[in-house]
Amino acid sequence: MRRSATASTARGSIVHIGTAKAEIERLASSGSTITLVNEGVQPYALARRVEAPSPPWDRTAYDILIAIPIAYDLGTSLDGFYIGLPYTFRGGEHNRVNGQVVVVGGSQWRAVSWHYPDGKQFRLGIDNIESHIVHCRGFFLERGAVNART
Amino acid sequence: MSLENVQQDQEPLSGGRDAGVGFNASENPVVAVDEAKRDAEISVELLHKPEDRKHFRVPRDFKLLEVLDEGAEKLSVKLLPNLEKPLDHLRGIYENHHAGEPLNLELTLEDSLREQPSTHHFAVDLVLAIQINTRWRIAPEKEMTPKAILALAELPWQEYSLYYPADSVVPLPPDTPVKLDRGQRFEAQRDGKYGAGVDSAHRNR
Repeated sequence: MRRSATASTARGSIVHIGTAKAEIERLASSGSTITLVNEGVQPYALARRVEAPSPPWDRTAYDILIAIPIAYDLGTSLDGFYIGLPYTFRGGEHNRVNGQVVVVGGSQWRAVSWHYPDGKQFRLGIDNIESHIVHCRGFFLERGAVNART
Repeated sequence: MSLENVQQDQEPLSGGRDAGVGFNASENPVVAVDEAKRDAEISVELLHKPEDRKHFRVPRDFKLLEVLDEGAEKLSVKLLPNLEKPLDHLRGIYENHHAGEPLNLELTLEDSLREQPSTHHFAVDLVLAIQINTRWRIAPEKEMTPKAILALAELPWQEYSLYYPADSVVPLPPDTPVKLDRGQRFEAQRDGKYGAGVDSAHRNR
């Protein structure tokens, strides 16, 4: 059941992320290393140690950042994620790590263009933060979606 | 529990199942409370493996969840997914070695011993627990297709694909049964690969 918790930000926007908070609490209590962090008015789920094959990646686990839409409870989708900088992939950069750079928690993170297949977007109720983390893990594993564009 | 309730809940001890102290609870309520806290000797085995039965004592006010935890430890088996909320069951073993239905783990041993039929003999039933992402489920069959496994985790196969091992790059064939092992971990990803054929079939109509 969705929580209807709401809160006001400093700028006056209404934040509907009670469901996200509940999901993060549940995941954390079941052993996942995940926390909710806020940078300005934007909340993020910080998932630590998402496994990756090394090589081609320069380490075996990465911290990732997932932007939580402030209307998450109302059904706004999760999409993409941020990878902590620096990183290397096959000794260089990955062509999908090409988005904006944000500073959260004193570290730099870059957006990864890793989206759901056309027509199969994230749907709250079926999908959740946990399944989105698995979706993000697919990026490191180079699984690709059914209609992925390289 | 108040003393009053203890007195009301106590069955007459003289002639009772574990009577060994000849007194009446109503005459000596303090002793009655002690009696309620006394240990009980029980035996626990793995379901269908009676040869490795363990006998030990536990407090009567232990919840059956604690009896299950203790029994699993004595039998050197691990409950899944965890000790706090296991999917595994504790069953009573009755006449002719008949195993009863899974017991309510919230009951105390004392409560359980009051029910009829009662037993001091229990079995740990290790279920076929599998993990899909972070969701644990009891598999109803020893072999299931990936589509059925996704359905078990309430994930639509038209949108999700199933991977095993969890870091596999290639999804499992959707309609080929997979032999399941207890504790097996799958990864379900919303990549639409299983549903791709369905989508293209719809588009081609």
